[in-house]
Amino acid sequence: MIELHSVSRQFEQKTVINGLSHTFPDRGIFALMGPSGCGKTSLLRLLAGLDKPDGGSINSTHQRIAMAFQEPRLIPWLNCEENLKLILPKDNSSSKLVQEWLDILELSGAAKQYPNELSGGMKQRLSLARALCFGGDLLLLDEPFSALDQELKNRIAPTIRKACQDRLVILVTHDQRDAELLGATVLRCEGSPLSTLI
Amino acid sequence: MKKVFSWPKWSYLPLAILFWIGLWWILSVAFGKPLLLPTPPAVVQALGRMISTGSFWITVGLSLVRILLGILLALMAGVLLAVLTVKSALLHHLFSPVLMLFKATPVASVIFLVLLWIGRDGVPLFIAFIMALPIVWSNVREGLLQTDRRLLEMAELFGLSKRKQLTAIHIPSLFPYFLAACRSAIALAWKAGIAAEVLCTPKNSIGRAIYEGKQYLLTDELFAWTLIVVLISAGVEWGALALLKKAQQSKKWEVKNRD
Repeated sequence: MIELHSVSRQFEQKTVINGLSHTFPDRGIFALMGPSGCGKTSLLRLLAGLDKPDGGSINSTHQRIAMAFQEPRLIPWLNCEENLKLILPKDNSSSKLVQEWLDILELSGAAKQYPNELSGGMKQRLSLARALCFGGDLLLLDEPFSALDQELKNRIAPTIRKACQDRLVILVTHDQRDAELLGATVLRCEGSPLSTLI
Repeated sequence: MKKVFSWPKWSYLPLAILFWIGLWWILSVAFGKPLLLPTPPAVVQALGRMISTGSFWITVGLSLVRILLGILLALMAGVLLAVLTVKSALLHHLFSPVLMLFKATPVASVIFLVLLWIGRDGVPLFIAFIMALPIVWSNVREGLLQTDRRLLEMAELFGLSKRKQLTAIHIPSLFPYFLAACRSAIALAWKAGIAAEVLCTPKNSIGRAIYEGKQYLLTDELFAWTLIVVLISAGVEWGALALLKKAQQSKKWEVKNRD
């Protein structure tokens, strides 16, 4: 469970989140939707613990957090397989898990390729695979499907949806269809700066 | 279509060297004063005489050890200083003037000062050290500052250990900067170390041999020693860079294109 109490966040004198209070349950899939620049990514960073709120407090019971960032953040000198293995413990089950997620996200043919050899969509899928194979009890996805075509999204969504059960998943998206594909509860970001999730 | 003759690419360097040796030969013959400008065969003969003596190898070996030790210490101290000054702004402000001073002070002044302080045998090592140190420090510091913060943030989020972060992100990011530092530092420190030997004339040193060549007007030997210095410099630089590049390739750190 995550409890946000009157959370505020500023960037260079500009308030992006102001007095936001909300409670996320232990598990479930939620999609944050709202116009660009409304503070969705800032909220995700606060939930990930990457930034601290300037005001208010965040109480979270989640220990193991995975995130697919807006930009893929892949290590350029590691191939796809190595990028995934890096975040996992060194054992046989990790190799199997990596292979499974590469298969699910249709990247098994590119397992030995390096990030600079991948298309934008492939990089995004690899970043998503990294977050999904990490496991964890909180999964944060910042526009994870923005570079993927609808057909591909339709193919991979059921498996991702299945993997997202039994944990809290918070997804940032501009596309209502992405939320529907994952069966997410849509939370609209209201206010400028962001102050309410409805 | 008529084929135009062109020299193979591999031959460019040997041909250029041959051209300059040829020009030197012509000039030395035309000049006709072997004490000022010996011919290439005279230098080769002097080189042959020198190489055949045991003391030559001791001299070269000791000069190499002195200067390389200075470079090695500078590499270690430079990396350490870079890490410390990136971590602490206070240390950065504290060490910056010292390193600027190292960069700006004329080598000759430092050589004579160090000669007074520690005696002639330690001077080449010390000079090689202080010439290489600011280069290594500034390059490695720049490399550390240029490490992609987004990758480090990702690593922290996924709970990567400090050791994994070091081997998977920091070292590969730093490597091109370290390589550039080695390239500049080795050449500069080697030349400055030999200059220090010439001015301080420690026993069994290339610098002393060069100095004596000048004192006794053994110009052919002076040229031969200079040739040795150039060859060793090129050899050391080539060897060090080959080793580092091999390490880089074996770890696949050369893939630098960022997403």
